Amino acid sequence: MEQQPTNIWIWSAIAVLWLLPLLSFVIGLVLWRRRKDGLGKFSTSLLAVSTLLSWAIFGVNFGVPESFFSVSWWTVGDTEFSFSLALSGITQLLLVIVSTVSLLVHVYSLEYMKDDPGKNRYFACLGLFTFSMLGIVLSDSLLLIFCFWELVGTSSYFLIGFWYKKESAALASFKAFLVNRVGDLGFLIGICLIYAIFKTLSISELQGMVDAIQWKGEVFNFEKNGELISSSPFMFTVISICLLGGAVGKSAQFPLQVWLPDAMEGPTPVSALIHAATMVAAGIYFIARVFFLFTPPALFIVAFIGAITAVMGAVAAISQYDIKKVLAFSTISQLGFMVLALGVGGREEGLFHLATHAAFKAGLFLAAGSIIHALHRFAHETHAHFDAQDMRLMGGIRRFMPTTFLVFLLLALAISGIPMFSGFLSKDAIITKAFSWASAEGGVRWIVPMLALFSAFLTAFYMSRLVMLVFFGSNKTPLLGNKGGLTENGKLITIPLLVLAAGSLWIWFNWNPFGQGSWLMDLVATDRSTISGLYLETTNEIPHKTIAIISILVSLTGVGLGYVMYDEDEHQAIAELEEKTSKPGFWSELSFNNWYLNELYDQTVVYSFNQLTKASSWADRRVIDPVVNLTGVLMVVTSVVVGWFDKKVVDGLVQLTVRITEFFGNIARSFQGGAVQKYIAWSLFFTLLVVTWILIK
Amino acid sequence: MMNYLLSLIIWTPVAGALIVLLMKDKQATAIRWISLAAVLLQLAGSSILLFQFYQFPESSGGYSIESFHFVEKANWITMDLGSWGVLSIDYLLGVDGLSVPLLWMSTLILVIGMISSWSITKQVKGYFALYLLLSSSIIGCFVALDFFLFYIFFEFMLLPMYFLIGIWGGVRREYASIKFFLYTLVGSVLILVAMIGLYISVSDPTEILADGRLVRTFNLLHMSDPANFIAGSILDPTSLKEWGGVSIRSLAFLFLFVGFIIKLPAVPFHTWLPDAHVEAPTPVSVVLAGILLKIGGYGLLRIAYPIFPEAALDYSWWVGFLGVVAIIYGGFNAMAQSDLKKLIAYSSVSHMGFVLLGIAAGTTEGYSGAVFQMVSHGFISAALFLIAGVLYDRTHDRMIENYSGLAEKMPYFTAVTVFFFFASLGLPGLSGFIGELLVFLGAFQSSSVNGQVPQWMAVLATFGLVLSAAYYLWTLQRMFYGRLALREVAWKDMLTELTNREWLMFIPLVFIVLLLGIFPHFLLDLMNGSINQLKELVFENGKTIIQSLNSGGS
Repeated sequence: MEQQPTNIWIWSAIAVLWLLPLLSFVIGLVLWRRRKDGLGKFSTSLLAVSTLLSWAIFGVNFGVPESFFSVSWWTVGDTEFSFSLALSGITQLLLVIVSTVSLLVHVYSLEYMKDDPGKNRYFACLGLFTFSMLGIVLSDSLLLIFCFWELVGTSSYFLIGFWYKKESAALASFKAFLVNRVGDLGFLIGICLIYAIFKTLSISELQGMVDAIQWKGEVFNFEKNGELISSSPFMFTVISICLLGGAVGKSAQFPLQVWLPDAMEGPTPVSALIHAATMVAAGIYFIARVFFLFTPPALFIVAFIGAITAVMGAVAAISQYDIKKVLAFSTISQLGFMVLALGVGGREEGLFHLATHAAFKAGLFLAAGSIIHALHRFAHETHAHFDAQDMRLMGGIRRFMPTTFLVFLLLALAISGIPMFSGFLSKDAIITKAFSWASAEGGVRWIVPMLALFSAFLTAFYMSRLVMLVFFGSNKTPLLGNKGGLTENGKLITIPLLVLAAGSLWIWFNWNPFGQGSWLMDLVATDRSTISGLYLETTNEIPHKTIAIISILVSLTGVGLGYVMYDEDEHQAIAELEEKTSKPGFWSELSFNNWYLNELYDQTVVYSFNQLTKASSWADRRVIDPVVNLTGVLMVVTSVVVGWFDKKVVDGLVQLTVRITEFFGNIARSFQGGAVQKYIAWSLFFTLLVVTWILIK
Repeated sequence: MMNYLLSLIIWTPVAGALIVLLMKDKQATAIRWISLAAVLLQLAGSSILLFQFYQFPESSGGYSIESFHFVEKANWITMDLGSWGVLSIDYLLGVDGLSVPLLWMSTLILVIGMISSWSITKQVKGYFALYLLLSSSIIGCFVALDFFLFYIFFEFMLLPMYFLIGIWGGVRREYASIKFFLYTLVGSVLILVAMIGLYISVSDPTEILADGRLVRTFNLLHMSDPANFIAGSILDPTSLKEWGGVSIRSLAFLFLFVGFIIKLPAVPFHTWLPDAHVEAPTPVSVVLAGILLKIGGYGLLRIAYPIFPEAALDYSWWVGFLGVVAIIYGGFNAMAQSDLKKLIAYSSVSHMGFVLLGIAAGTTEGYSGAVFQMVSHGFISAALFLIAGVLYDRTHDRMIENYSGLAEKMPYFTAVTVFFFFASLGLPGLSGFIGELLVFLGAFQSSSVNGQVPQWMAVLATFGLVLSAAYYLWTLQRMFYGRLALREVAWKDMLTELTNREWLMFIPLVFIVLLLGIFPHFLLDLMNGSINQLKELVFENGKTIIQSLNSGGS
């Protein structure tokens, strides 16, 4: 594998931008219990430097081929595990996304977390998260990615449970970590299987080996250190499905998406950074990095998981009343969209959507947070008690918070896939790809683009519903009414919002608002490897124009339907109608409860887990321990018996022997008398005795 | 002095114990300081040894006395048995890359245990004397290269341990100490039988008497060379004797194996552990979990595997299976506990399962993982028992449901707890992860390298990671998060932050767990050479013996 000469300047810049958030974490840890302000500002300025550097690298290094940095980390036996980093198009893109969103969230949090006593802990955790997330992005080794993968999970755990005194927050963080761990098992097994075959975990080395694979019937042959190694395509399918497991956990895909809605217990800026823009997208990034390992059957599964998740998430988002829950389900659905893109072979399209989604979803969360923050402040001032996240208690907010409204509206249009916004470009690219994939191979594959279209429709619908409920109509906040009192937040909150809204315009990605794809896709593109080359790349090009028109129509229908249904007067009428028809329908219950997945898992997985726990404990207390105790008791009994035996029998025997000896002694003495007759008589007697005994026996 | 470094490390505490015994019970403070000085000297000695060891070139060549350092050899017992030859027992000490990490870990844990013993007030003199005796015999186990000498140390550990639990323990201390005693006794008897069998069968190749009689030896390294077995003896690898359909060599291996896994402990021989831990005072728990369990794993690697390599290969499926059972079963049991100390005890069972799995895999990664896991678990479990001790010292209650929201009351203590819980559940960057990772890498690789452990076992074992996350995080959630709620109102004042003495115990552990997690080469470089030798020895000798038996039999 040829390596570019390592550019010392670029790599020192990377080292600095990567380690600054770690510094922020360490200092935060030291200052954690001090009630001093200033840590937030300090962390934010560190992040600003990181962000500047990442943009600089993006600009300077643009279009430069991959470069690597690698040092030996540890050796076991003869195998060296190296600490290796890679800088390529995809890395540069992600560096920019992660550091920028993180910086905006830091700025935003300065205001949002101003009065929280635990804010030093908060900024420390943000630092740890940013460091680990950048680690995932930079790593060129599966092992390193796994390490940082777990670390982002841990910082997510700490931040979800940030308000640990709240029972629900503590529980949510526990659930998030555990569900992620389940997915990570797949990741770990995948790593071990790769190691067992290739004896290396370096992604670039792996890619080199996979590219050199010779395809011979049912066997892959490739060389490693001059040794010919064989494996089967099936093994690669197994490996890629295992790796997919990690992504399914982290990116909240079916069937492991249940943790993400609960994760909303964390502070809202955290939801924006971790549970919308960056960490949950790590799964998509990861699959894109190891895309060369994925075989056609594995990709088929990927596509379906993505499509199913996209629809399930969108359906669940429809009927939520908690504003953050809507956005959480929306995130699940959008992540499903990206996974779907990967599955249909649209690696670049998926990454493109990752980039656009990072901006508009982070923005949506921050804007929602802006409302929540304002409502909290209002509640605090008026001593009112209400749920600041319940959309039924909002309405008409646009009049009080114009900036937030504007931002939210733009971002909602972006996520709904309306032209002139980034979301249209990336979604349209994915849908186009899905259609060409389906038309090339046909059959059940047609389901995937159909589901994609359906979820695009639902997305437009629930976003429109959300905007209507929150910003239009009359205000239903207790004590607020249509009077004043609710005010827009300060600049620290609105500026990040405006930046993200601006970032969701089409112009940054493609000069043509109706165009196809983006230059970003060329940046992150890589050569297709042998394995995915097996995947007949006979894409049946469907004219992009047709798809674009269809998807615009679908989005507009969704927006329109939402507008009509949730317009105040109409809504009232529908609600009354629903009340008359008694119970809420099956579908709306299903949607509200997220397909009853939680209940299903409680009844099956959690239940059997608990039963196994009980069974193991029972076995330990009622089977193994009694056996041990019985052995102990038997030993004691034995020793008592032996003791008794010793005292009574052995001692008795000894005494008996003594008596017998005496007795015979006496007899013997009497023989000494010399009477021969007596000898004969005794002999006869004993002989008879022996004979009788033999006969009786 | 360097030549006698190992002896010094072993016998310093005995000297300390003698001084302690000469003192009066009232001089408690002096007794404590003298005892601390003794274990600190031990730590200093082993640290010197450790740093010297980094300077040595990685040992190359075969597994023999040449690959050991700081070797001390003296004739201890020599007995002329007439035509039967000469019995020879040596005072033979030495360390290699396998024992040095365990040795250093033990001396550090002994110091930490000693600091933790500061709060012992009952019969101070007896306690510290016994603790010092324990320190000596533990170290003896790790450095003895003569089976008889090892056995003496191994047995002698039992005595102080029995009394430390039986006198200074909790409510059910008699039950626990007797249970511990019986279990370990059974193990000892099995090991003794195997040892006698070996003694009958092995002769010293370096010493043959002028009249051609053999010198019978307990030297572990001689025993590890199949060439030293006397032709026709009961454990002769070239002509297997059978007993009831099982080859006697396999039987002897099983005896050693069971003897050591009782100590490890592995399911189903583990039930002494939770009871012993629950009843033992904190420092004894720390030593028990941190060090004593490792002697089981060490015994397997030093004694059972090299001496009976073919049986080790034969039974590797079962060894791996026991490992997986321990991981899963121990994890589920930990899940079920309501006593914090019991939970940690069962988690030890689960984590020691990784040691068995790694050893069974028989690859370099597997062996390294097993040893790494032992060292890392030594530090982590010590810290975990200290954590349980912190609570117990303050309230005399360890029930999980009696606490809630401790994070609010004791934030620093919570931070320390979170750190070690995460270390134990295998968070990358902390030492627990590397050991488990290496075991998995080895176990998954095994089926394609040597076919000893099937992949489904490795897959099943990964489930242990979910279990450990589940019971630790659930405990955090129940005890530390939520609103502050305690069973007794009075506890609120008792639950004070960590004292300086407690910090003194935690800080070195935090540091080492981080160090080994981020820079595992500090440990791996130390043991790579020896592990490789050991692996080659077991694999090559095992294969040779199996082949020669197969060709002989057909």
